[in-house]
Amino acid sequence: MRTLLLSLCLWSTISLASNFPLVIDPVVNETPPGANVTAGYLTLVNETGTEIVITGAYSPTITKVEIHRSLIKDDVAKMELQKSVILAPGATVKFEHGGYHLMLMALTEPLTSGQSVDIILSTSVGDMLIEMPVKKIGMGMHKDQTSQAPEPQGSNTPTETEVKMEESHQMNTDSEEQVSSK
Amino acid sequence: MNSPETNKPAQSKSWLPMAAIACIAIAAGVFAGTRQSMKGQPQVSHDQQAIQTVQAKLESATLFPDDFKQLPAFSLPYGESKMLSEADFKGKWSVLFFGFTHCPDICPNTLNEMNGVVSQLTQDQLAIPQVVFITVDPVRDTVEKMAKYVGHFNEAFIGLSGDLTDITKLTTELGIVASYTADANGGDGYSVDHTASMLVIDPELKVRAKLNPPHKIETITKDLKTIMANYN
Ligand SMILES: [Cu+2]
Repeated sequence: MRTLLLSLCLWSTISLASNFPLVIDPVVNETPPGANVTAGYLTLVNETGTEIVITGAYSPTITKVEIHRSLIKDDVAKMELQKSVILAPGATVKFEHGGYHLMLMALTEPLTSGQSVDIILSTSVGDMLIEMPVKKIGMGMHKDQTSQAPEPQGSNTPTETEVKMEESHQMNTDSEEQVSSK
Repeated sequence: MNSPETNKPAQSKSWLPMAAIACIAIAAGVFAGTRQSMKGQPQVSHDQQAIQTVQAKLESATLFPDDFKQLPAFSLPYGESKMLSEADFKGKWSVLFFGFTHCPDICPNTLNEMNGVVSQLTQDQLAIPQVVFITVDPVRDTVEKMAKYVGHFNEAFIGLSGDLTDITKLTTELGIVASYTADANGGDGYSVDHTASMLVIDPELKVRAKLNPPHKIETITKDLKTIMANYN
């Protein structure tokens, strides 16, 4: 079962649920033994008519979460901290291998597939909680189907129905008490 | 049955394929000859031609000329008190690349992709290169940590660590970049920017090619097949 319906509006009293970007295919890479960092990926779709700015990320269970961007410049791989990520009206922004990623840092325990991690994105329209399932590396991506990819290609494209379901899910929110403040 | 008379027609029929094999053998010999006599001035252009022919078949990798670079002498620890040196690269193909375990995105994905490459080559019943991942952050990445980390992706992968000076010597000699940057958000963390491409070492320890990013299982597999088939 795909997990794209998990974005919840935490501040429903202040913001309308439909103000939030749509979240597709959130996934956190399982940590290889010895690693105390890992990456989280997802796709954000801004279906509103207004610009949304992602200003940061945090988690009730992970010591430090940052928004990073991997880039390869002159054959050198590096990561850059992103102070903000802008979602223009109608824009789709992918957090994916080799680009934007949520960097989960200073992990005290390994993350194994089957688990899930709560990540809160701070945005210009309020905070949004995303439950991100932990998967074996490469399993959350649909690009390299050669070695693994159980799902058929094209399943990561949002459809009309998915969008509507997402919106209705955002409407009934009751998890405000979970995260009260940063 | 085995009299010379009955054998004769068979022999004459087989003349054509024999000639074809001979031609191929001569052609292969010429090809090998040009490669080996790289340092002799007159043949240089032939060698360049040979490289261009193979290079044209590659999707993403970059081939190096014969006299480009040799894997330098080194000795670094891995696994449970084992040592890997340049001698362990003789007689087999190897893929060598650099990274560190505090790297959440590029390094683990590259290791995962190399595992995909190995399973593709295994499926096609081809020679499997020795895959060696060397940390550019040996202070945090101990030998034990590297062994566990790399083994998570493939039991056969080798994860090298060791003294920072020894590793820096090897990276410098191979032209690998590793530069240390303090985390932008403060704290005591740091990140290591490093060369993203992987090196293909041939059975004679020559740095034969480099696999350029972005790394894709299909592309690497195809390019490795081409390289290994043309330089054997
Ligand atoms: Cu990062």
